[in-house]
Amino acid sequence: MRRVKRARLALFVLALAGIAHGDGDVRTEAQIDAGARYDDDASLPAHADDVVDYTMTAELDPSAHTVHGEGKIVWRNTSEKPTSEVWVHLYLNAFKNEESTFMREPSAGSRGNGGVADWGAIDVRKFSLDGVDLWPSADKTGGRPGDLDETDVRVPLPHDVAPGASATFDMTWDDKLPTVVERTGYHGSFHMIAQWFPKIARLEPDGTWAHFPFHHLAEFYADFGTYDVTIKAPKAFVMGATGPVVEARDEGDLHVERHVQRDVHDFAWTAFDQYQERTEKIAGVDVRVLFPRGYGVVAERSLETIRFALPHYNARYGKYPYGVLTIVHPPEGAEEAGGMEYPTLFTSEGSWYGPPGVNVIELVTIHEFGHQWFYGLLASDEVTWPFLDEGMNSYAEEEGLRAWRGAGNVIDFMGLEIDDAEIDANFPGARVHDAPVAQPAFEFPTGGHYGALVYERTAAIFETVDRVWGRELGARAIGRYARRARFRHPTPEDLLTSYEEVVGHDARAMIEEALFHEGWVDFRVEQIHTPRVARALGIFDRDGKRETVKDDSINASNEYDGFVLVAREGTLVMPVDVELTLQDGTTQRLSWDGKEKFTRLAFHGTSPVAFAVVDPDHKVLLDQDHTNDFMRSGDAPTPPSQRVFERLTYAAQMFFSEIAP
Amino acid sequence: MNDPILVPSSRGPISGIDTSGPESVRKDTRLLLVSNDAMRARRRPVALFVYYMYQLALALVVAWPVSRGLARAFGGHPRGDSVLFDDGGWAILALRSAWERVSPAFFALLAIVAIFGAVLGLVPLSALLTSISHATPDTRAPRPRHLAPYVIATFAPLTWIFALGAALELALSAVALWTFGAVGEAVRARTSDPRADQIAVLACFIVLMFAGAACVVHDLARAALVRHRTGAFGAIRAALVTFRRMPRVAWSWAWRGGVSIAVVIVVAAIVPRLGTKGAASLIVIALLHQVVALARTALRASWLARALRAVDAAPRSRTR
Repeated sequence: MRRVKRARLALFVLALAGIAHGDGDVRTEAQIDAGARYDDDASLPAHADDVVDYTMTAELDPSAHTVHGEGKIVWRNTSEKPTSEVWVHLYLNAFKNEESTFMREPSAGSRGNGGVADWGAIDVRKFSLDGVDLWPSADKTGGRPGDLDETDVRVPLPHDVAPGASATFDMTWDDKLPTVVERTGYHGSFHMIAQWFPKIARLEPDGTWAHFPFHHLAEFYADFGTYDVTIKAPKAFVMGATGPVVEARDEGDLHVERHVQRDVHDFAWTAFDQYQERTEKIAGVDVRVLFPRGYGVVAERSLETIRFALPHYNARYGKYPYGVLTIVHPPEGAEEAGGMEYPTLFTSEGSWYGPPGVNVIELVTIHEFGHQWFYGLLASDEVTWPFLDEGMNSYAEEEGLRAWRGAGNVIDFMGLEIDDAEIDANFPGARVHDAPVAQPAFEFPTGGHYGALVYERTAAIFETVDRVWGRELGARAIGRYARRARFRHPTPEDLLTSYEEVVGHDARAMIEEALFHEGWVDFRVEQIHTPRVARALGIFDRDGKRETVKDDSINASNEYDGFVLVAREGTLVMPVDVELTLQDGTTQRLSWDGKEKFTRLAFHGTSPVAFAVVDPDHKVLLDQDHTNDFMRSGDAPTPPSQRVFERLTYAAQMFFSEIAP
Repeated sequence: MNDPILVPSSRGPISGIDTSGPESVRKDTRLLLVSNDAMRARRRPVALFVYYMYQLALALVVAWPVSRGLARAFGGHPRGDSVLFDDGGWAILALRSAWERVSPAFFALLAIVAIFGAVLGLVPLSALLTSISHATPDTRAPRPRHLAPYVIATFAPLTWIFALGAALELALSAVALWTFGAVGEAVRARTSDPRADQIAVLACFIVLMFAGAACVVHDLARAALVRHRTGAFGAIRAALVTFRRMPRVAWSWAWRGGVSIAVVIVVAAIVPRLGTKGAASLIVIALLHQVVALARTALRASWLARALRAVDAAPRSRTR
């Protein structure tokens, strides 16, 4: 019963939205209800499909920066077809030499470009099935003859593994960690140990392996399972890892911790002899911050962020299902390890003095925390559809920061307030024409394009949907998607379906165009024409008489008629408002569905139009150029411009008073 | 205001100025030195105001074209350039691509104005120093016709001193920056990041103290040049002697500098609370800003008067 009421309420809201925009795109109750059961946490699955379980033991030698690992993988074929092979990712080999795919790919504008001072590698000593070591017969270059990349390995099996059947692999390996690069490695005695073990690729339901070399711009994709990992490091080292500690003990000079976590698809850990630690229970989750000495302020700012974000994200995207969350703050010099997400653990970044008013620590913390959903719980294919995790998570970051900190959520310093959403909207610039947003990570021409399109453009697209069609609908759509897709490796179609169900076909069409077809839009005011209503001039033959009207001023009325011409360039279609400011100071709001390339909005009033502003509430973040969104009619008074002049003059005075004699 | 106590100038009319001709002319442009204790910036408000106006004029040269460009960009909006102060910063960010195109030209303009402005600024500076340290025979503040020959005569040596002083100050600032990085890097492995940065800042500050000392000597040399009417290198020698004999004069420079920075920070904290809408807030903010600019000019003039007193008080035997 409650659900029906909610659906009716939503229908009413949608109907109002449709009427307001005149687009006729009103969802039917059946359409609204199609996914409505995913609108609250009752729909959330208790657990993921348990596809692959890792039981491993790893020992860190912090002076040699090596990890010795042993363990077993129990893997189940959950596809529809038997398989005669498994693909194993050895991500750490990305840093083995300059012939790896990672090192060869151009990536200007991204992390990982600082070079590797000390190379890293993973050497598998044994990978056996039923007592037979399969590693000697493995194809280390993944079927790419001549390719020296060793991050994507095909291992032929002695016999097929049927659908539903499982295989247990025993393995032994050794890691040599690189100096910190692309999220992993060491810096002094700090160790961030990620992408560190032989990891089985995901077998899709149709029987194809989703395997790939470690690309410079790409992240990961894997199946859910249970990770039971015992980690060892010298006693002086504090460790943190995915999942809760279920057992801790000392073995000689070593400290040993066993971490067990189900429903995750990766495991990362860290060890550092300089860590300090703070813990706090937030919304039922044991939150732990590991930070270098002197970073107490940073730790508190991270915790403050989580105090807001955890309940906020729980409400929007479904409850966080794990009992622990670990935040790792790398020391200075290890920044490449910062700003990365793993299940129940993420790394933050920011200097120890983190200047007040510049919320970098909060921004990075909330972003990486958001990945617990848009990566962790959804587990979309980050290589093929990076926008599904980084992009949607950037949108969540924008929304969260604004809900928490208002308009000055990134910078709030001496009157200057900068919003994360405005940055995301602005920075892609002309790159929106260079490549689609929705494409594999390795297809982007540069790291700059990847960042601008995957992160910022995606966020701007969905923020625009919220502003144009309504935040309530946007929240419901993204919430439905996040709940329905939990543990299910969603594709773009899953996301689009949620938005179509909740927000409507027009919104879906706009999103699809923007994501897949380099869609763009630029609204502008083209012309204001609102003359006084008067008799027409000229020669007129009336009632058999010829009359010449030369001067209309005598009979001129006090009314004005005309139009404002508004144009839409680009391929994105969405409704937009136009605000007219009349010379008497009053304003009028008009609406345009934005479906044509331009429109003449009729005007009639007692004062001429002085200014016209398209999108006066600044809803269309995707607008390529906001400086042509307004126009002044020729005879309107010039608007004020003294404020900027005053500020600039003062700034220049201060500058010259410092350098002048 | 008490009349300044005049003392006879030991050097007579400055060299290079024609003192021949009718007595009325010589008498008309002749200045006498003001006694040490009477050299106060507050006694020369007009010269101080001219100095302030010069810096304001320089600022306008840069601010005017930029603000005109912004007024054109946002002249079509009913709220004009006020949108640049909108929450969230959409209008500022909308200018980003335009800024990327025009910023090289802007910085070129800024550099040109800064260099020429600094050199031309020696004229009002010399006038201010001369005005503070001199008076007409009838104990009045010098008028422009009195100051002109002094300013002309001191321009070249002041330029030399400025070039040498600026080069030294820039070099020491660069060394300070390098010191920050090098020291931080060297100690980071042995201590925590905050402690490493604190040590680096301390090391940087020590080098900056030398830069500050260079600034003090620079101003003392300017003061000596005007007060003693010596050449550039004679003035530098006099400044060094003064600084060696009276090192505490640096404190006079430092506290005024500190107050100059503090007023900027305090007003910067107040201004956002005054809002960005309406003429009243604009007027109040503009007044506040100009009070700051005037206060900084006054503090600078006060320091220059102190420098004049210092070089006057220091033994001058080494300067001859």
